[in-house]
Amino acid sequence: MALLVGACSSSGEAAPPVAAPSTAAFAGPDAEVASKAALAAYNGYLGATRDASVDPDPTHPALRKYLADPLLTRVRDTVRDLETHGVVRTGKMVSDPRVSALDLTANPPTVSIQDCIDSSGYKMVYAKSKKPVPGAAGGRYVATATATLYPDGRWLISDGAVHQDQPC
Amino acid sequence: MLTRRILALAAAFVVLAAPAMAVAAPPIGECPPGSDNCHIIDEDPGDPGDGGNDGGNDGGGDGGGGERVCTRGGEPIACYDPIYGWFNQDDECYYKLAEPQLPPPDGASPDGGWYVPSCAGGIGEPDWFDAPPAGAEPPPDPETLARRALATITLSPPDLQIRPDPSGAGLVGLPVWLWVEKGPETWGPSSASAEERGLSVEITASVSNLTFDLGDGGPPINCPGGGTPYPKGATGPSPDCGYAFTKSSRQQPGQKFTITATTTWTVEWTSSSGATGTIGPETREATVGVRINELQVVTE
Repeated sequence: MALLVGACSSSGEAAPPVAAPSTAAFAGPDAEVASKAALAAYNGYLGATRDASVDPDPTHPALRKYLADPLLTRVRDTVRDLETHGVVRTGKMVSDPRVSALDLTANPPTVSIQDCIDSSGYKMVYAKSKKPVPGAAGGRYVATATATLYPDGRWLISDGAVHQDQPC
Repeated sequence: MLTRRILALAAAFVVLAAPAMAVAAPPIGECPPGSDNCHIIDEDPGDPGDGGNDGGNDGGGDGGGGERVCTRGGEPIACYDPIYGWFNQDDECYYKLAEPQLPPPDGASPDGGWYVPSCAGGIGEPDWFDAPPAGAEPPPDPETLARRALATITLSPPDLQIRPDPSGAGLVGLPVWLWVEKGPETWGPSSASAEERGLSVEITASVSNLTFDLGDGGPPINCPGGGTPYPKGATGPSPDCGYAFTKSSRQQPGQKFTITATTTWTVEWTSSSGATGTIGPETREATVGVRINELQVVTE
């Protein structure tokens, strides 16, 4: 059973927040708890990715706290790539995530998250020269992610992608 | 290969698209958030890679690869990569145990595991294997890692405090206050971690019990809370960790009772594979001598 909570919002048009009354009609406490936990994991994931990329460290412990495979390995790989190339991330991403679907009866249960990430202030620069990496200008694109419930009770982000063909 | 798309960034979108949409890769790539430029860092200094999973420059291959030679597309490649895991020559993919593990699929052998494949085309969705993929070597033993982590922290003897002050003397029948000052090294919690081949173990060491042996032949007293520091001027007994000697220390060596404080440390570990355990208990001791006089020698 997959519940569609909110559709893709174009920029500037705010979808109702997860805890809004309109969703409470069908969202039992479980759905609300799951949504909150999934969004918390998602925010943790963005933060952990940023922390691991400021001074690139693919083994950064925060990654394991919010991410699960295969995304964990993909992000570690990405961070190692920064490290290998002497590139760091500076600045911030602007994020506005919301739950787009819940599948709490699946095994394992999942929550789908949709975001519009603005990475124009999240620069990729060479650590030594501080010069921006050519072609690495950010933008505002739709991002999607999946939070998965693990046996130990944690919601972790197991998949995530930015869709560069979908500006928002 | 002049313009080389960056390793897994390029690789990732290929596989990312597949599970979600069940169609071929979209015309424009998807990249993990936080790295939303799928092909950046064009120049590639000193990296003779194959454009795919070039793990050889990260100290890979030192994890016990031994005599084994691994190749992808005929080119030598590390047999172990700290991020991708062990190389399987059969399909030229690396495999590592997924972190964390999901329950096995219905009917699968519980001895198996979910493995993440990292192939030339990118990092894929976890697959279930009843037995580790070819080329995999046994994962590190988490308890060994826990002990390695433990070796990096100091479990110090208790910071033993008593009143009466050991430089003075106490009296038979009057309250003796016993406590310890608590710091991370003497009381915990103190944490450390160790990592090997993708398995990481975090330990937390903390004192789970404290006993005082008063040195007068009586049984030791338990003060798991650490006792209460003596407030200046207090005349009563310690609320939780006190004693009153019933005889003087005159017959003792040096005319003092030797008070021994023993902390019992419990070291709990959790590993990224989900396994947990404890090491120990470990104990640490501190002693102090105290002189206890008969009541009749009171001088006030």
